[in-house]
Amino acid sequence: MRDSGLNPIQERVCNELRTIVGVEGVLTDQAEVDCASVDFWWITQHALLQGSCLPKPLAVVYPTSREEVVRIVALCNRHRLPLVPRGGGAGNCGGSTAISGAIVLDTKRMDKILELNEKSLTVRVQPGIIQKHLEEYLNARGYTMNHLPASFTTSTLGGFIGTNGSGILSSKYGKVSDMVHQIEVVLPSGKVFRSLPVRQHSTGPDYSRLFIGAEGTLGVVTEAVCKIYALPERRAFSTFLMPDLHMGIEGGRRVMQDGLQPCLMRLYDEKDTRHTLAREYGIEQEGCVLLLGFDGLERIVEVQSEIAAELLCKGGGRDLGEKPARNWWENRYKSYYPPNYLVGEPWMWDVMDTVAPYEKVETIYWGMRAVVEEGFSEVGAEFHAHFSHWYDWGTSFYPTFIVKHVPKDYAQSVQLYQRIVESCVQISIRNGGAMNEHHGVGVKLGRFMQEIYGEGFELAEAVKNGLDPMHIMNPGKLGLGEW
Amino acid sequence: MENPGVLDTIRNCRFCFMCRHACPTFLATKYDSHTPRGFALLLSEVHEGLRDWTEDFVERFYQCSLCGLCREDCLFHWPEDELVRQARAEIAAAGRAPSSIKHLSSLITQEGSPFGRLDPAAGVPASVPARGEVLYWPGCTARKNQPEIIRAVGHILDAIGSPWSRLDDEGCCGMPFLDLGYPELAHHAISALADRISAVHPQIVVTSCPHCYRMLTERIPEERRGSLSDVQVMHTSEFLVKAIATARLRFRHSWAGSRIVGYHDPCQLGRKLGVYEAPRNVILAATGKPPVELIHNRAGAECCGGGGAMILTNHELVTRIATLRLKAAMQERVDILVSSCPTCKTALGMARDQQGMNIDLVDIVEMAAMAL
Repeated sequence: MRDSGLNPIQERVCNELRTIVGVEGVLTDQAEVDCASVDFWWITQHALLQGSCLPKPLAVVYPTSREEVVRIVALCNRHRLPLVPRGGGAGNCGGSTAISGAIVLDTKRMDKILELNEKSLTVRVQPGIIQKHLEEYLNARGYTMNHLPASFTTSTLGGFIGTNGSGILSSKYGKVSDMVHQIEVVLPSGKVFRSLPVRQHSTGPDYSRLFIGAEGTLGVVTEAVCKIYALPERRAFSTFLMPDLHMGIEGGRRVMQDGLQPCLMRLYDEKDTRHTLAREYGIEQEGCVLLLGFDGLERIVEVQSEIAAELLCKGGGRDLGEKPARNWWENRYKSYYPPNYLVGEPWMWDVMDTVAPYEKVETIYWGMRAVVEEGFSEVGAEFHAHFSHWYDWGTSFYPTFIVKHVPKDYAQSVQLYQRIVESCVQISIRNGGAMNEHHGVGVKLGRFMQEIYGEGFELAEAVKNGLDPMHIMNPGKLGLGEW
Repeated sequence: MENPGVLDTIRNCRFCFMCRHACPTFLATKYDSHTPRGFALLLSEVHEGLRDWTEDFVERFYQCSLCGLCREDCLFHWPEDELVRQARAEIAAAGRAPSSIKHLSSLITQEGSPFGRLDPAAGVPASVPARGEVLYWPGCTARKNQPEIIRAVGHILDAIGSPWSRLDDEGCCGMPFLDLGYPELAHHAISALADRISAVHPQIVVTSCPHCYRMLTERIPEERRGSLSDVQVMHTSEFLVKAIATARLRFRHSWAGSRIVGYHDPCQLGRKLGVYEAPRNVILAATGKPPVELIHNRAGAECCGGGGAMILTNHELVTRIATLRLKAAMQERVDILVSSCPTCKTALGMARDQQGMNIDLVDIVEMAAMAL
C-alpha cells in the first residue's frame, strides 16, 4: 500500500518496519489509518462524524511473532516513536485509539494456537486471536475457555488481557486475570518477560499482574497460557422477579455468599426490566428481573439451582421459570447488533461499569442515577443499568447513560459528555467504588487516575518510568504521560 | 447516493464489529479496512465529504469477494455485500475505477467475456440447438479455465441419453458487470442473455456456473418480466439429483474408495440461492457416504475468494483467501474437495498449486462423470 505524504524520516522508519514485517505488513494509507483511529468509544465516533480531525498514526504494522515485536519496539525506542498496541480495537475507552505520529502495532496476525494441554487443562496462544476463533477450536475438542464477553466475535485475547475484561460467565469463571496462567510480554526495552509457569506461587510478587489491565502501557503481550474447562455436562437456567432493586441485590449477595457458583447472574433495574428485556428478549415484567444460570455436572447443577431458587424466593422473588433466562442466553449477543436502541449515533451514550462492595454498591447506583437523570435533566439524560458480574464481596453494575438531544456544536457536545462522565466518576470515587470494572481506562478515564489513587499513583508512575523511560508505550492512556 | 437501503447499512455497520470474525478477506489480511465495518466506515467518510475516492479507498472496495458471509452472520442481516457493490458503482460512475477494472469492462463489452474471446470449442464443440432440448450453459469461467467440467457434463448428458446442445457464443451473463460496478451495462447484458436463450427455445437450461444461475433465475425475471418463464433453469447439481432420482443416472458407489471426500459450498450457489443439499446428495450417491463437512459449512461457509470479480482482479488476495479454505479442508483430513462452481475450483486450484498442498479438487460433475 502507498504512503501518503511521508517526510524522508518517516519514509525511512517505514522502510525499516518493512524489513521487519514485510512490505504488506506496513500500511500507511489513509484508508487503514482511518480504520485504526476509530474504536467503539463515543468520542472517536462522534469526532469522525463531525469531521473533526482524529490523530493520524504514522503506520499500522502487523507482526506475526515475538521476534518481530521485539524489533518493532526497539525501532520505536531508537526513533522515540509512540507505539500503540491494538487488538480488536473495539474498546470503548480509547485505550487502543491511535496517537498522532505513532506506530500502531496490530496484533491480529499473531493468532496461532501453540499448544493444547489436556492434562493440566490449559491452552497456549498468541494474543491476536479473536476469542470466537479460540473458542471454536476449543469447543471442537470438547473444551471451553468460558470467556464470553459481548465482543466475543470481534475482540482479541490480547485486548481482553490489556483491559482485564470480564465475560458473561465471570461470576463463576472470573475475570481474565483469573484465566491467564502465564504471560509473555515484550518490555519497552525490547527484553522479554515471562511469568512463572504456574498460576499460584510465592516466588516473589505475581509480576504478571503488572501487565493485565495495563492496556499496553508497559509492554506488548506476545503469548499467554490460559485456563480451559471441559464443556459442561449441563447448563440450567432460571428466572426470578425480584420486587425491587434492593431485594434483587440482596438475593444475589445471598447466592454468592452461601457458596453457590452461578455461572450467570444478571439483575436488571426497573427501567432495564421494563424496556430492554421486553424489546430484546420478550421478557415483559414490572420489577427487577434476575436471570440465573448454573453449569457443570448434572447433579451439582440441579442441587445448586434448587438451593438458589429457595434463597431467592425466600428473599421475595417469584420464580418465572426457565424460559426467559434461556431465551436471553440463546440470544445473548442480540442487543449488540445494530440497530441498537441503546447506544449509537445520533445519540450520546456511554457505559460506566462500576464495581463496589455490597455495603456501598446501592449508594453508588442511586447516586449515579440521580446525578445523570437530575443533574442533566435539561438535556433529557437517561440512565439504566444491570448487575452482571458478582463476587462474594460485592458486585458490579453496568450503567448506560443516553442523551438523545446532542448539542449541535461539536465542542459543546464533547463538553457535555465529559461533564456527565466526570459526575459519574466522582460518585464512584466518593462512595468507595471503582470505575472501571472491565472496559479499562484508556483516555476516557485516564484523567481521573491521579485522583483515584491519590499520592499512591506514584507507584504507577514509577513503574512506568522505570520500564518505559522513553514513554513510547501507548502514552496518554491510563493517565500515564501525555496524549 | 440514491440508495436508501445502502445508507441504512452504512449507518448501522460503520461502527459495528460483530461480523469481523467471519469476513474471508479480513481473515486473509487482518486489515481493519478489510472488514464489513471498515467498508461501511470508508464509504461513510466519502459520503460525508471527509474523504474522496483516492486510490487507497478505491482499492479497498475491489478487495471484497461479495460473498455475503457478513450479511449471513449478522443477526439483522445488513447487506454489506450490496454496500460494497454500490460503492463500486459509485466509483465507476465517478470515473475513478482503476484502469484494470475499466479494461475488464471494455473486454466484456467487446469480446463477450472478461477473459476475452473464448474458444467456442472449449470442452466440447457447440452444436446447433434444437427446440425443446437441454441447453447446457457452462459460463465463461468453465470455458476459460475448466473445460474439463464441460467435457464431464457432455459425458453425463450423453450417458443419460438426453438430447442437448450449447451455444458457441454465450456472451456475458451480466454478473461481471455488476461486480465491477457497471449496473447499466449489466442490465443490457441481462437483456441480451434473455434474448439469446429465448431464441433457442430450450426446455431446460442447465448451468455449471452459480453466477450465471443467479442472473438466469433472479435478474432475468426481475428485469425482463415474462422472459424464459417457460424455461426450467437448473444448476448441474440439481440436474444430477433429478437424474439420480429418476434412475437415469447410476453410480458405481466406489468412486472415492477410502479417500475422504469433503464439500466446499460456493457462496453464490449456497448462501445466495440456498442450494446446499443437491451437491451433497450427489456426493452421497457417488460415494455411498455423505461428504465430510468443513468446520464452517452451508450458510456459514467462507468463500474461496474468487467472487465479486476478484478472480479477475486480484489473484494474490484470492490465493490467500482460498488457502485458508483449503487449510480448513485439510484439518478435516479431506483428500478430495468437491465444489459446484468453476470459479471456486479455479481459486482453490491456484491456492493448492501455490502452497503445494496435497488435495484433489473436482467439480461435482467431474465427480459424477468419474463415478459412472
